[in-house]
Amino acid sequence: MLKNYVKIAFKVFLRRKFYTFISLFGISFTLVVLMVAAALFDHFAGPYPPETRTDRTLYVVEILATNQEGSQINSGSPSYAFLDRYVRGLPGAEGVSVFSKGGVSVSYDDVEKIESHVMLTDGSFWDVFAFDFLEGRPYTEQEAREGSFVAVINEATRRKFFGEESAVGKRIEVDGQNFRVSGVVANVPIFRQKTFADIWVPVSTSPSEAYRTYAPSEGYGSYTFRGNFQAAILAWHSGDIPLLKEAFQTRLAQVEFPDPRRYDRIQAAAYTPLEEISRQAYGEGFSTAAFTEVYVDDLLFTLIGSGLLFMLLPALHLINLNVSRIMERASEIGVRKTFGASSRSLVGQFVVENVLLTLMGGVVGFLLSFWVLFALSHSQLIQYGQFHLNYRIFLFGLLVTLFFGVFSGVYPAWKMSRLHPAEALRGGSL
Amino acid sequence: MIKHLLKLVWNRKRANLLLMGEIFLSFLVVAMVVAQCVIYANNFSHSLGFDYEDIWYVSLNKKHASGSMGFKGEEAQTLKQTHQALLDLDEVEMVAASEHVPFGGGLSMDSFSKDGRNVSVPYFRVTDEFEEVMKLELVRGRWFDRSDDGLNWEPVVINQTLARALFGTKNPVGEKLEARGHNELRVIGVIAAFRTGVFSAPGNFAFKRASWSKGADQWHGLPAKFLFRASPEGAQVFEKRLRNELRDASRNWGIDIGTLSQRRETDLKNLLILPIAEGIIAFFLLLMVGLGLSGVLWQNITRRTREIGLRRALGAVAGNIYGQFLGELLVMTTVAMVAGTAVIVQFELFDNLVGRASGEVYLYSLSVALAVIYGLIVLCGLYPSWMATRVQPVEALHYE
Repeated sequence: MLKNYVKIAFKVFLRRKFYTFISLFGISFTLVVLMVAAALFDHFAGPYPPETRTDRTLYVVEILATNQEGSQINSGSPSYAFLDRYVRGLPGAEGVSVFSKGGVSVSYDDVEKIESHVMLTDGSFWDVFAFDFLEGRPYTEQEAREGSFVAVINEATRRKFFGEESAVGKRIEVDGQNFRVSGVVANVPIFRQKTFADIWVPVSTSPSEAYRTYAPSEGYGSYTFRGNFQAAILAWHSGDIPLLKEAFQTRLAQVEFPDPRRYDRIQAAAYTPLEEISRQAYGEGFSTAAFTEVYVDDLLFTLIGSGLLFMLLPALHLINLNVSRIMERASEIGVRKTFGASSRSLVGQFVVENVLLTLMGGVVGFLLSFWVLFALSHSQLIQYGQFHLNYRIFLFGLLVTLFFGVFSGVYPAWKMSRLHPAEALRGGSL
Repeated sequence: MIKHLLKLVWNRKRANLLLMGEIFLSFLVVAMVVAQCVIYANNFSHSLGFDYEDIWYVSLNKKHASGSMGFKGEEAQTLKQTHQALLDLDEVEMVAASEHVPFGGGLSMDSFSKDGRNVSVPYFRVTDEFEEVMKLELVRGRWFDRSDDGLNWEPVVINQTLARALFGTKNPVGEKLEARGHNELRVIGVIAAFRTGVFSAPGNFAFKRASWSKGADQWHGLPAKFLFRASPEGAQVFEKRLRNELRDASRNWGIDIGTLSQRRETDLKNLLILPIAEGIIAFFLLLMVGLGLSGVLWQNITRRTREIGLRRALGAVAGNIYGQFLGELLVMTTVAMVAGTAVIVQFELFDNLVGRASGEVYLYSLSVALAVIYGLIVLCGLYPSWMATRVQPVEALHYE
């Protein structure tokens, strides 16, 4: 039976090439847009190296310092000293890393200027994140503690400084400091916000020690708490996440205030990667009331909502096409009805035919998405961005395709099945 | 005639409703994309309020802390040394310092209130030289100068938009303002305009004063970005020399050097990516809708052969048939667009409330969207309607 439907379907597709083309165009275009969008989001929020353990990672990226009178409010990224003191060694965590948000540094290669994004990290950074080393090794905890001038660079930086040669053991100059390259890692795309950089160096190589002194001198004010750093906490299992969040709050209750007249209260929270993204999208950083709120529901609602909204137009387009397409075959339906075909089998036939058409469009859509993503990666419009189709995106695309096939086929098929045979034989009208 | 057409459309309401839904959605898509482009173009056409040509910037960034926290003694010393090192260069006459650099360099926010009205205001904290280096246009009062040292109130310079928002038509110079947790603020001057980005809206803006003199608050008074005019022969060599000169003055800091023209170009490029992507998607959506519509119309017309044959037999000429089909189509389009406009107007009301765009912008976008959709529909209807005029009465009636 199914074989017959398929045979008929292909005959019909070939007979009305223009219609087939329009349908295929609509489906594949819609699929390309949705799949590229899904791929971008997946690469942005999903588990890709070096941030592969998204399900058991927590970040501390913001703190809010206030006092009871409400005369001082200071929010933003925390300082190294604060994170080192109150996040490192969190009970129940597999590892904790404290690292800077990074900034642009400049080196000169003869006359040519080389701009690199430099991140200051501790030694455990390399255990908490899973970097893909092309050569050499990361710097060790000890090297990082003792302020050895060692650096890990990415592939692009290696090419800029050393061409195609190996870089391990060679020296590079960054902002006037001289580092020995200990390892080379694969490029980290710019949307991996926590780990993106060109060069990673130990935080202890800084000329001044002020960054690690908690409550340095009087008059520093918020300097104690606020800085340019963030922390990543790695849990042993994803189930430990709530426990770690609580453990962090317990630690916050123990914070010492060097100058309580200025600040005597600290608010902060450890967020999962998705919670962090939702805060970036919807959080109002300066509102003290909502400082620790997360907006994951809002984020998912917006994403799914806009996806459905986008699909509305192509769906209507396909339904319209199908209504026309089916009416053209009114006499065929009339004949089948006269010979006793049930409404159900007619609906079945048409839906199968339609799903077959959408699947064909799906294949074209997959190929086109692959090409668009390839072109996007190649253009380097997004720095170091490499986009691939993986099984998650593939399944998503398949789901969308099937949804379209069934959704746009059922209504016209149902209408058709209700045609009176005599009316249908004459050419019928809906 | 229109009544008759409406009746014809109504007779096939189910199928036509679906078609109208498609037109309605296409209209929304076009209107939204056009609105965004119009907002961008509208903002772009407004004056930046300063002249970015030949301006260089040197931006110092603390590696371990964010600049918004102010600078203490030793750091303040570094900033002063850098300032001096820049002034010592032959090519440089005057150096202004600012908290932020225009074109994607961020801004500070404050909230001013006057007579119980609260206005949120983006601002830069800048030194006295800023006006001359950036070539701002002062329309009222004066800019910051030495006489502002050691005041027990804080002077501010505002732009005309903010002056209107706070004081209406009254002269704002000398007026007091309240702001959260500050000394008293007083307006000392009004500048024509100031926007910080290529596409940022011409909204409120203010300047506060930063000073190198002793009395200034060392925590929040010191800006770390320097701006100066220079048109050196070899820009690349100049930049490298600059960097070498500044290296000793600013150890332990990250230095970013460049021209405002470069920043403007980067800003432009980054901000255009999204509208271009949207435009491409909208174009393909319209192409899809256009192809689909002509397919559907063509099919509809082949199915109405008998009706057409009858009309021809009763003396209708090709022009009548043309008119009928295009007319039906236009009636449907109009119904869909009325619904679409009703929806867009909701957006307009909403956006006016949040002050993002003016009514004119929406009016303009609506007209463009209307023109695009009518054009598309007529284009799609032309060929199928022409097909309809080719129907031979004899053949059509024979079909019966």
